[in-house]
Amino acid sequence: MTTNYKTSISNFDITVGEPAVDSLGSGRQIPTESHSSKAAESAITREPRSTTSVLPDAVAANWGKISKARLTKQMYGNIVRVATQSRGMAPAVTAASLGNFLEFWMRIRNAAVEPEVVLAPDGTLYAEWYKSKHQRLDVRFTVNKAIFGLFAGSSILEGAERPETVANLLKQHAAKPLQWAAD
Amino acid sequence: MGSGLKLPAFALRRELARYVSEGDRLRGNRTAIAAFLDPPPIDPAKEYLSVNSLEVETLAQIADYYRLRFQNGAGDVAICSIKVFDFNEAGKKCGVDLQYDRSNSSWNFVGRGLKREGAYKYRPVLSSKDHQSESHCGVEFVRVLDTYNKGKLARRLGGRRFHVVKARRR
Repeated sequence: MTTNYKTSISNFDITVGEPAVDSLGSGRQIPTESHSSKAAESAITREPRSTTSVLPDAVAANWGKISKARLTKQMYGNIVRVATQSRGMAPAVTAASLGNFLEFWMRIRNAAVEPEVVLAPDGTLYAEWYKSKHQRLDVRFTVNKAIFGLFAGSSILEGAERPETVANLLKQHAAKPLQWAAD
Repeated sequence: MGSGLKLPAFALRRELARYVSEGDRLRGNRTAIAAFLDPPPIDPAKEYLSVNSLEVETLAQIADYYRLRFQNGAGDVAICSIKVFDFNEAGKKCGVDLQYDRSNSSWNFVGRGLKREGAYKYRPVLSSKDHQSESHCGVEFVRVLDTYNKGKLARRLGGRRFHVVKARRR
Protein backbone atom coordinates (compact mmCIF):
# COMPACT_ATOMS: atom_id res chain seq x y z
CA MET A 1 0.00 0.00 0.00
CA THR A 2 1.36 3.36 -0.93
CA THR A 3 0.02 6.64 0.34
CA ASN A 4 1.57 9.84 -0.81
CA TYR A 5 2.02 12.41 1.91
CA LYS A 6 3.38 15.78 1.04
CA THR A 7 4.38 18.05 3.83
CA SER A 8 4.94 21.73 3.49
CA ILE A 9 8.47 21.16 4.70
CA SER A 10 9.77 18.55 2.35
CA ASN A 11 8.86 16.77 -0.80
CA PHE A 12 9.00 13.22 0.38
CA ASP A 13 6.71 10.43 -0.64
CA ILE A 14 5.73 8.39 2.37
CA THR A 15 5.25 4.72 1.69
CA VAL A 16 3.73 2.44 4.26
CA GLY A 17 4.30 -1.29 4.10
CA GLU A 18 7.23 -1.15 1.76
CA PRO A 19 10.83 -0.96 2.82
CA ALA A 20 11.94 2.65 2.69
CA VAL A 21 15.32 3.82 1.63
CA ASP A 22 17.49 5.94 3.84
CA SER A 23 16.91 9.50 2.74
CA LEU A 24 20.63 10.18 2.80
CA GLY A 25 20.87 7.92 -0.18
CA SER A 26 22.93 5.19 1.44
CA GLY A 27 20.49 2.56 0.24
CA ARG A 28 20.00 1.25 3.78
CA GLN A 29 16.44 0.08 4.38
CA ILE A 30 14.55 1.60 7.28
CA PRO A 31 12.32 -0.74 9.33
CA THR A 32 8.63 -0.02 8.80
CA GLU A 33 5.85 -0.02 11.32
CA SER A 34 2.89 -2.41 11.37
CA HIS A 35 0.25 -2.24 8.68
CA SER A 36 -2.68 -1.30 10.91
CA SER A 37 -4.78 1.64 9.76
CA LYS A 38 -3.63 3.72 12.73
CA ALA A 39 -0.04 3.00 11.89
CA ALA A 40 -0.76 3.83 8.29
CA GLU A 41 -1.87 7.26 9.38
CA SER A 42 0.96 7.94 11.70
CA ALA A 43 3.96 5.91 10.69
CA ILE A 44 6.45 7.66 8.52
CA THR A 45 8.76 5.63 6.35
CA ARG A 46 10.14 7.80 3.70
CA GLU A 47 11.55 7.57 0.25
CA PRO A 48 13.09 10.77 -1.02
CA ARG A 49 11.58 12.08 -4.24
CA SER A 50 14.43 14.46 -4.83
CA THR A 51 18.08 13.69 -4.29
CA THR A 52 18.69 17.39 -3.70
CA SER A 53 16.54 17.40 -0.50
CA VAL A 54 18.75 17.60 2.57
CA LEU A 55 17.63 16.65 6.04
CA PRO A 56 18.62 18.89 8.96
CA ASP A 57 21.56 17.40 10.84
CA ALA A 58 19.60 16.70 14.01
CA VAL A 59 16.89 14.90 12.06
CA ALA A 60 19.39 12.84 10.08
CA ALA A 61 21.21 11.90 13.28
CA ASN A 62 17.96 10.66 14.83
CA TRP A 63 16.48 9.00 11.81
CA GLY A 64 16.26 5.63 13.50
CA LYS A 65 14.25 7.06 16.38
CA ILE A 66 12.03 9.07 14.05
CA SER A 67 11.14 5.96 12.12
CA LYS A 68 10.12 4.23 15.36
CA ALA A 69 8.35 7.19 16.95
CA ARG A 70 5.14 6.95 14.90
CA LEU A 71 4.88 10.67 14.40
CA THR A 72 2.03 12.18 12.48
CA LYS A 73 3.06 14.16 9.45
CA GLN A 74 2.15 17.35 11.28
CA MET A 75 4.42 16.47 14.19
CA TYR A 76 7.21 15.45 11.84
CA GLY A 77 6.81 18.72 9.99
CA ASN A 78 7.04 20.66 13.25
CA ILE A 79 10.21 18.82 14.19
CA VAL A 80 11.81 19.54 10.83
CA ARG A 81 10.75 23.17 11.15
CA VAL A 82 12.41 23.43 14.56
CA ALA A 83 15.46 21.57 13.32
CA THR A 84 15.94 24.02 10.46
CA GLN A 85 15.19 27.07 12.55
CA SER A 86 17.91 29.25 13.90
CA ARG A 87 17.64 32.14 16.32
CA GLY A 88 20.18 34.60 14.99
CA MET A 89 23.58 33.42 16.13
CA ALA A 90 22.11 30.70 18.31
CA PRO A 91 22.43 27.08 17.18
CA ALA A 92 19.72 24.97 15.59
CA VAL A 93 18.32 22.13 17.67
CA THR A 94 20.99 19.71 18.87
CA ALA A 95 20.85 16.05 17.92
CA ALA A 96 21.03 15.09 21.60
CA SER A 97 18.04 17.19 22.54
CA LEU A 98 15.95 15.92 19.66
CA GLY A 99 16.97 12.37 20.44
CA ASN A 100 15.92 12.71 24.06
CA PHE A 101 12.60 14.19 23.02
CA LEU A 102 11.95 11.30 20.64
CA GLU A 103 12.75 8.73 23.30
CA PHE A 104 10.48 10.58 25.71
CA TRP A 105 7.74 10.68 23.10
CA MET A 106 7.98 6.95 22.50
CA ARG A 107 7.44 6.37 26.24
CA ILE A 108 4.36 8.58 26.47
CA ARG A 109 2.74 8.51 23.04
CA ASN A 110 0.01 6.03 24.01
CA ALA A 111 -1.10 8.39 26.77
CA ALA A 112 -0.48 11.77 25.17
CA VAL A 113 -1.55 14.24 22.55
CA GLU A 114 1.16 15.78 20.45
CA PRO A 115 2.71 18.87 22.02
CA GLU A 116 3.81 22.08 20.39
CA VAL A 117 7.57 22.10 19.95
CA VAL A 118 9.80 25.15 20.12
CA LEU A 119 13.53 25.79 19.87
CA ALA A 120 15.28 27.39 22.86
CA PRO A 121 18.23 29.73 22.21
CA ASP A 122 20.75 27.14 23.40
CA GLY A 123 19.61 24.55 20.87
CA THR A 124 17.46 22.52 23.24
CA LEU A 125 13.93 21.57 22.36
CA TYR A 126 10.85 22.55 24.36
CA ALA A 127 7.59 20.63 24.24
CA GLU A 128 4.50 22.43 25.57
CA TRP A 129 1.02 21.17 26.40
CA TYR A 130 -1.68 23.73 27.19
CA LYS A 131 -5.27 23.50 28.31
CA SER A 132 -5.83 26.81 30.09
CA LYS A 133 -3.96 29.60 31.84
CA HIS A 134 -3.63 27.44 34.96
CA GLN A 135 -3.12 24.12 33.20
CA ARG A 136 0.18 24.12 31.39
CA LEU A 137 3.02 21.66 31.02
CA ASP A 138 6.43 22.21 29.49
CA VAL A 139 9.35 19.84 29.14
CA ARG A 140 12.79 20.90 27.94
CA PHE A 141 15.26 18.29 26.70
CA THR A 142 18.92 18.82 27.54
CA VAL A 143 21.73 16.32 27.05
CA ASN A 144 21.03 14.29 30.18
CA LYS A 145 17.86 15.64 31.71
CA ALA A 146 14.27 16.56 31.03
CA ILE A 147 13.52 19.85 32.79
CA PHE A 148 9.81 20.16 33.35
CA GLY A 149 7.22 22.48 34.81
CA LEU A 150 3.62 21.56 35.47
CA PHE A 151 0.99 24.14 36.43
CA ALA A 152 -2.12 22.20 37.40
CA GLY A 153 -4.66 24.54 38.91
CA SER A 154 -3.23 25.83 42.16
CA SER A 155 -0.37 23.34 42.30
CA ILE A 156 3.03 23.71 40.68
CA LEU A 157 5.45 20.85 40.08
CA GLU A 158 8.90 21.60 38.67
CA GLY A 159 12.03 19.59 38.39
CA ALA A 160 14.85 18.12 36.34
CA GLU A 161 15.14 14.37 36.05
CA ARG A 162 16.03 11.68 33.59
CA PRO A 163 13.53 11.70 30.71
CA GLU A 164 12.18 8.24 31.58
CA THR A 165 11.49 9.33 35.16
CA VAL A 166 9.67 12.45 33.98
CA ALA A 167 7.69 10.39 31.47
CA ASN A 168 6.48 8.01 34.18
CA LEU A 169 5.68 10.84 36.56
CA LEU A 170 3.59 12.71 34.01
CA LYS A 171 1.78 9.59 32.79
CA GLN A 172 0.74 8.83 36.34
CA HIS A 173 -0.19 12.38 37.34
CA ALA A 174 -3.85 12.70 38.28
CA ALA A 175 -4.38 15.79 36.13
CA LYS A 176 -3.41 13.88 32.95
CA PRO A 177 -1.33 16.81 31.65
CA LEU A 178 -0.06 14.90 28.64
CA GLN A 179 -3.59 14.96 27.27
CA TRP A 180 -4.03 18.69 27.58
CA ALA A 181 -4.97 20.51 24.42
CA ALA A 182 -6.52 23.94 24.02
CA ASP A 183 -10.20 23.79 23.16
CA MET B 1 21.55 60.38 27.41
CA GLY B 2 20.08 62.32 24.49
CA SER B 3 17.98 65.34 25.26
CA GLY B 4 14.21 64.87 25.23
CA LEU B 5 14.32 61.17 26.04
CA LYS B 6 11.62 60.03 28.42
CA LEU B 7 13.14 57.89 31.13
CA PRO B 8 11.21 54.84 32.34
CA ALA B 9 10.48 54.62 36.05
CA PHE B 10 9.67 50.88 35.93
CA ALA B 11 6.54 51.43 37.98
CA LEU B 12 4.76 48.22 38.92
CA ARG B 13 1.78 48.71 36.65
CA ARG B 14 3.88 49.66 33.62
CA GLU B 15 4.60 47.10 30.97
CA LEU B 16 7.73 45.80 29.36
CA ALA B 17 7.52 44.39 25.84
CA ARG B 18 9.29 41.34 24.50
CA TYR B 19 9.58 40.35 20.84
CA VAL B 20 7.94 37.04 19.94
CA SER B 21 9.58 35.38 16.97
CA GLU B 22 7.57 33.28 14.56
CA GLY B 23 8.84 30.07 16.11
CA ASP B 24 7.64 31.17 19.54
CA ARG B 25 4.06 31.87 18.50
CA LEU B 26 1.87 29.04 19.72
CA ARG B 27 -1.73 28.23 18.93
CA GLY B 28 -4.22 30.71 20.28
CA ASN B 29 -1.71 33.57 20.02
CA ARG B 30 0.18 32.33 23.07
CA THR B 31 3.81 33.09 23.72
CA ALA B 32 6.19 30.16 24.07
CA ILE B 33 8.33 29.93 27.18
CA ALA B 34 11.44 30.03 25.00
CA ALA B 35 10.55 33.61 23.99
CA PHE B 36 11.78 34.71 27.42
CA LEU B 37 15.20 33.12 27.09
CA ASP B 38 18.17 34.79 25.47
CA PRO B 39 21.23 32.99 24.09
CA PRO B 40 23.96 32.23 26.62
CA PRO B 41 25.95 35.46 27.18
CA ILE B 42 29.57 36.03 26.26
CA ASP B 43 30.10 37.77 29.61
CA PRO B 44 27.72 36.49 32.31
CA ALA B 45 28.48 39.53 34.49
CA LYS B 46 26.82 41.76 31.90
CA GLU B 47 23.86 39.56 31.12
CA TYR B 48 20.32 40.93 31.00
CA LEU B 49 17.02 40.10 29.32
CA SER B 50 16.22 42.56 26.53
CA VAL B 51 12.85 44.25 26.75
CA ASN B 52 11.31 47.54 25.65
CA SER B 53 9.47 49.91 27.94
CA LEU B 54 5.94 50.97 27.08
CA GLU B 55 6.53 53.99 29.32
CA VAL B 56 8.87 55.37 26.66
CA GLU B 57 7.42 54.25 23.33
CA THR B 58 4.10 52.97 22.06
CA LEU B 59 3.47 49.41 20.97
CA ALA B 60 3.54 50.53 17.33
CA GLN B 61 6.90 52.27 17.73
CA ILE B 62 8.36 49.24 19.45
CA ALA B 63 6.94 47.03 16.72
CA ASP B 64 8.67 49.16 14.09
CA TYR B 65 11.97 48.56 15.85
CA TYR B 66 11.37 44.82 16.12
CA ARG B 67 10.34 44.67 12.47
CA LEU B 68 13.58 46.30 11.37
CA ARG B 69 15.74 44.45 13.86
CA PHE B 70 14.40 40.91 13.45
CA GLN B 71 12.24 40.75 10.32
CA ASN B 72 14.13 42.68 7.64
CA GLY B 73 11.58 45.44 7.86
CA ALA B 74 8.62 43.35 6.76
CA GLY B 75 5.61 41.57 8.16
CA ASP B 76 3.38 41.64 11.20
CA VAL B 77 5.12 41.76 14.55
CA ALA B 78 4.14 39.78 17.65
CA ILE B 79 4.81 41.39 21.02
CA CYS B 80 4.18 40.07 24.51
CA SER B 81 3.84 42.83 27.10
CA ILE B 82 4.10 42.08 30.80
CA LYS B 83 3.79 44.31 33.84
CA VAL B 84 6.85 45.08 35.92
CA PHE B 85 4.86 43.66 38.84
CA ASP B 86 4.71 40.28 37.09
CA PHE B 87 8.43 40.35 36.29
CA ASN B 88 9.09 41.04 39.97
CA GLU B 89 6.82 38.25 41.16
CA ALA B 90 8.39 35.79 38.75
CA GLY B 91 11.86 36.84 39.87
CA LYS B 92 11.03 36.43 43.53
CA LYS B 93 9.67 32.95 42.92
CA CYS B 94 12.99 32.06 41.32
CA GLY B 95 14.91 33.18 44.38
CA VAL B 96 15.88 36.72 43.39
CA ASP B 97 16.14 39.04 46.38
CA LEU B 98 14.22 42.00 44.97
CA GLN B 99 13.59 45.08 47.06
CA TYR B 100 12.23 48.54 46.48
CA ASP B 101 14.53 51.44 47.30
CA ARG B 102 12.33 54.38 48.25
CA SER B 103 15.25 56.79 48.29
CA ASN B 104 15.63 56.63 44.54
CA SER B 105 12.31 54.99 43.63
CA SER B 106 13.81 51.93 42.04
CA TRP B 107 13.84 48.18 42.31
CA ASN B 108 17.13 46.49 43.09
CA PHE B 109 18.46 43.01 43.66
CA VAL B 110 21.47 41.36 45.23
CA GLY B 111 23.96 40.79 42.44
CA ARG B 112 26.73 38.25 42.12
CA GLY B 113 29.13 40.33 44.18
CA LEU B 114 26.52 40.53 46.94
CA LYS B 115 26.09 44.23 46.09
CA ARG B 116 22.72 45.75 45.37
CA GLU B 117 22.17 46.50 41.68
CA GLY B 118 19.29 47.98 39.71
CA ALA B 119 16.79 45.29 38.78
CA TYR B 120 15.83 47.15 35.60
CA LYS B 121 18.09 49.36 33.55
CA TYR B 122 17.39 51.83 30.80
CA ARG B 123 19.52 50.84 27.81
CA PRO B 124 18.48 52.93 24.81
CA VAL B 125 19.99 51.93 21.50
CA LEU B 126 20.90 55.26 19.94
CA SER B 127 24.25 54.74 18.30
CA SER B 128 23.26 52.15 15.75
CA LYS B 129 22.46 53.61 12.35
CA ASP B 130 19.97 50.92 11.45
CA HIS B 131 18.32 49.79 14.67
CA GLN B 132 17.60 52.62 17.06
CA SER B 133 15.36 52.05 20.04
CA GLU B 134 14.65 54.73 22.61
CA SER B 135 12.71 52.31 24.79
CA HIS B 136 15.20 49.46 25.02
CA CYS B 137 15.79 48.27 28.59
CA GLY B 138 17.22 45.31 30.45
CA VAL B 139 15.78 43.02 33.08
CA GLU B 140 19.06 42.85 34.97
CA PHE B 141 18.30 40.35 37.70
CA VAL B 142 18.38 37.40 35.30
CA ARG B 143 22.15 37.32 35.63
CA VAL B 144 21.98 35.86 39.12
CA LEU B 145 19.85 32.97 37.88
CA ASP B 146 21.32 29.64 36.84
CA THR B 147 20.00 27.83 33.78
CA TYR B 148 17.34 26.00 35.74
CA ASN B 149 16.00 29.16 37.36
CA LYS B 150 16.11 31.10 34.10
CA GLY B 151 13.77 28.40 32.82
CA LYS B 152 11.55 28.84 35.87
CA LEU B 153 11.40 32.57 35.24
CA ALA B 154 10.59 32.07 31.56
CA ARG B 155 7.89 29.56 32.50
CA ARG B 156 6.16 32.16 34.66
CA LEU B 157 6.38 34.81 31.99
CA GLY B 158 5.39 32.60 29.08
CA GLY B 159 1.96 31.34 28.11
CA ARG B 160 0.52 34.83 27.83
CA ARG B 161 -1.16 36.02 24.67
CA PHE B 162 0.84 38.26 22.40
CA HIS B 163 -0.34 41.31 20.49
CA VAL B 164 -0.04 41.33 16.73
CA VAL B 165 0.97 44.69 15.28
CA LYS B 166 0.20 44.72 11.60
CA ALA B 167 2.66 46.07 9.10
CA ARG B 168 1.48 49.42 7.80
CA ARG B 169 0.39 49.49 4.18
CA ARG B 170 2.38 51.89 2.07
